[in-house]
Amino acid sequence: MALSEGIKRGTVELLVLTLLRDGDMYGYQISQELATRSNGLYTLAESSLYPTLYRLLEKKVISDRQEKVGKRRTRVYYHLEEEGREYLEALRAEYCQITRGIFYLLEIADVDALGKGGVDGSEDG
Amino acid sequence: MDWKEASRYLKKVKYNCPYPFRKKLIPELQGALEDFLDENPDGTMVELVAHFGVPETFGYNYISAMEDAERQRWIKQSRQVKGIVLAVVATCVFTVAVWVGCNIWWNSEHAIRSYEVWVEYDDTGERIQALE
Repeated sequence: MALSEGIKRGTVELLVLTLLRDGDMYGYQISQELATRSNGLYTLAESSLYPTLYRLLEKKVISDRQEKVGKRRTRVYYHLEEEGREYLEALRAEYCQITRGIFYLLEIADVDALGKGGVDGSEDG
Repeated sequence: MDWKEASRYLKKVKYNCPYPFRKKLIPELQGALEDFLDENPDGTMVELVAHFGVPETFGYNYISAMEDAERQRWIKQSRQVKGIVLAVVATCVFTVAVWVGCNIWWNSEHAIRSYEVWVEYDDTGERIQALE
């Protein structure tokens, strides 16, 4: 669906940085964590994850290091830098503001109502 | 599913991914595929595609996930590279054409011409006739 794709594109930086705040992670682990922590509601294809990681690297908000796992496998771990924490806070504030505006427009008073599909916290029917 | 099938997937991704992105992406994706195989030893190709995406559209998704400015920069860079390659090829073709042309002209102007000459002498050694 075009809407969910657009939302994912707009939020992937925020969510990746949020995960990295809890510790260093590698690409596959990030995609797994996104699915797990969102109860499977937010899944991200690896093809969309890597350009985001490389962009964050270019912005110097995260850094990477390679670690040898086993005999020949190399994992690239990503680490949230201090600048990244500030960048994350700015993204988070921006996201919350936009979301609050959308909630007002959609007349959603309660986040729990989202799951039930109703508005103002009341269930339909 | 074994590594052979996963590497076939990786090859397809490599084929469908623009050249500048392969260097960093492919080794990292290879590691991710190995992690996936470790976690899902009985996984199928369908599950792998569900997690990583369709290999044929990997490059497209990669470019779609870029920011507009980033994409514009990449398009500009690839146009510049194409322009440089085209200019180099055009220069080479022009140089070869000029070189071949010059050679043909030089050979026609300075070619060594050969003659056949018959000289007849009489019994006393006097030359009596020379034919060209």
